[in-house]
Amino acid sequence: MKFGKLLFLLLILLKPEFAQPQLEKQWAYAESLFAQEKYFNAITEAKRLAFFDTANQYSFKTNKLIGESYSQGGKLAEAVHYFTKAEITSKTKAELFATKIEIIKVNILRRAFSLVNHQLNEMEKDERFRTDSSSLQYWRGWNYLFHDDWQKAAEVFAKIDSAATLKNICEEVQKKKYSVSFAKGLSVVLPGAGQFYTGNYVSGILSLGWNVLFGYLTVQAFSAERVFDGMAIGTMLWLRFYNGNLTNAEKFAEEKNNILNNETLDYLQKNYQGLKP
Amino acid sequence: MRRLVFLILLSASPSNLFSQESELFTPEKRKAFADYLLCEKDYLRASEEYEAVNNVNQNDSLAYNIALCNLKMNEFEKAKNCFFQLRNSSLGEESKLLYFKTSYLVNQNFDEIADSSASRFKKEELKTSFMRLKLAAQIKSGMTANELSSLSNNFDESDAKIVKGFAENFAHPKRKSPLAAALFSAMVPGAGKIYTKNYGDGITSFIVTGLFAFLSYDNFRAHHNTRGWIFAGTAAFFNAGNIYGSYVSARNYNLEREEELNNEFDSYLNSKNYFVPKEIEGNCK
Repeated sequence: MKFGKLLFLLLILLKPEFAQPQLEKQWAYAESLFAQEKYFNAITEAKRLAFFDTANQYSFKTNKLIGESYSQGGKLAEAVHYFTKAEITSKTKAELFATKIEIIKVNILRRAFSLVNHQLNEMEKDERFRTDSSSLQYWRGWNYLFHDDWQKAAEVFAKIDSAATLKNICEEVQKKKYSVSFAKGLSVVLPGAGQFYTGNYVSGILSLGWNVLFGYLTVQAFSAERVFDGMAIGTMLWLRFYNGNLTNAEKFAEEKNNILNNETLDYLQKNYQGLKP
Repeated sequence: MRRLVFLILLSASPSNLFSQESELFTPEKRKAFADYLLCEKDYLRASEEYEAVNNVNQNDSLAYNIALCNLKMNEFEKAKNCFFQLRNSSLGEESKLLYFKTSYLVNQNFDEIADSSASRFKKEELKTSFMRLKLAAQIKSGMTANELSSLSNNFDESDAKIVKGFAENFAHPKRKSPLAAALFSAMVPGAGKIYTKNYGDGITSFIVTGLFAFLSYDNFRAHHNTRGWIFAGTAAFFNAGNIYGSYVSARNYNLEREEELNNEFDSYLNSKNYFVPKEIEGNCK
């Protein structure tokens, strides 16, 4: 009878240990779903594991996996929420660093430039991450890149040996970009010239034509001492077309730059092999 | 002794301890997980878990929770059908009330609520909720003076005051006459737009029409008749546009006020959960 009682007690005590393989299996299952890019199901199974993991042994892993799945699915706010939970449950410096970087990566994708800058500054000040300054610089470069500041991104990547490709890409984009103020300045001097600079020739010719026509009519009205006509045509027609010409030049330069930015980001997303947000 | 050892070993057999099916995926555990997901507002996953359990052990509570998930996910048609099927179940009264709420949300269907009677409900709290929801529906379709006075009997003092305000605004909406707006603009350019509180457009219309009229007058006076006619035509064209614009502006003003009032009322109802007790929409702490 004593032996029976002892065995019973042993089994009661060992129950969590028996449950352990269940949780391990569940973790492997969630991970395999993530590897198969079945992010919705990966989240479900990771949440199930977290719910039954009463000892919180898998808290960090599940929260990180859920965060990564949400991030892959484009649910960035949810991703940050779970990465933050992972950060709280991290046990080692490496885990803490990894989750902080994940949060930064998501925030880069959200184009939260100032927030990422602040987070990177805080990490740089932190003694624990003193040896990781190169990694922090790398993500700072990406932050500039997503902020369309290709010049600064190139400068940051230039300080990192492994980021030579990114540096070259950023410099290439910076060279190809149109200067918005230069386009506008050209149109100030000669209406339509800014549009020519950005390659919008038809718009440039039309802009020049309208401005010449209404400028001529205005000057003619003033020369014939029809001051009111001159003012009416000058303010309501010429000035309107002149302003339109400036806005147009600015808009075209911005549009072309946006296309270039998006094409480069798309290229990096699909072809760049290194770490990326 | 042997029997005891045998029983212990049986309960701790490897198939029982290590099988995934028996541990995390038992109906009871799935139900517990689904309840957790529902409280976490992860309605899609909660609904899937409830459905998985319901396929094994069908019961009203699970079907009710599935309907709730659909309601929370704004899948109103699905939720409505689920609540309708539960109308005679053990959760019949709660389902009926949520059916009416969903019906209200799905296509602002007020007739179904208006035609129903509170006597369907035996629980006093649900009866009151239904009465309030019914009155809310009536408010939108416009109330008579008698109906307006009945509002105080069905709402708390503070709510009654707000609801009455909405009811009066729905019954007597502040409208602008499109015809009057057009006439005002015909008399003074832009006046119709100012009447419809479209001040910027009104002033612009006045200046533009006035300017072209003056240019026309100035050119006729200087014997530039062709230009005079061109500016006169332009002024007439602008004024015709301004008269029509004032008519449209009044119509838009009425539509905007109507939409504003509807949005405000919907927002108020939403803040009050459409007078439905929150306890019947999930028991989360």
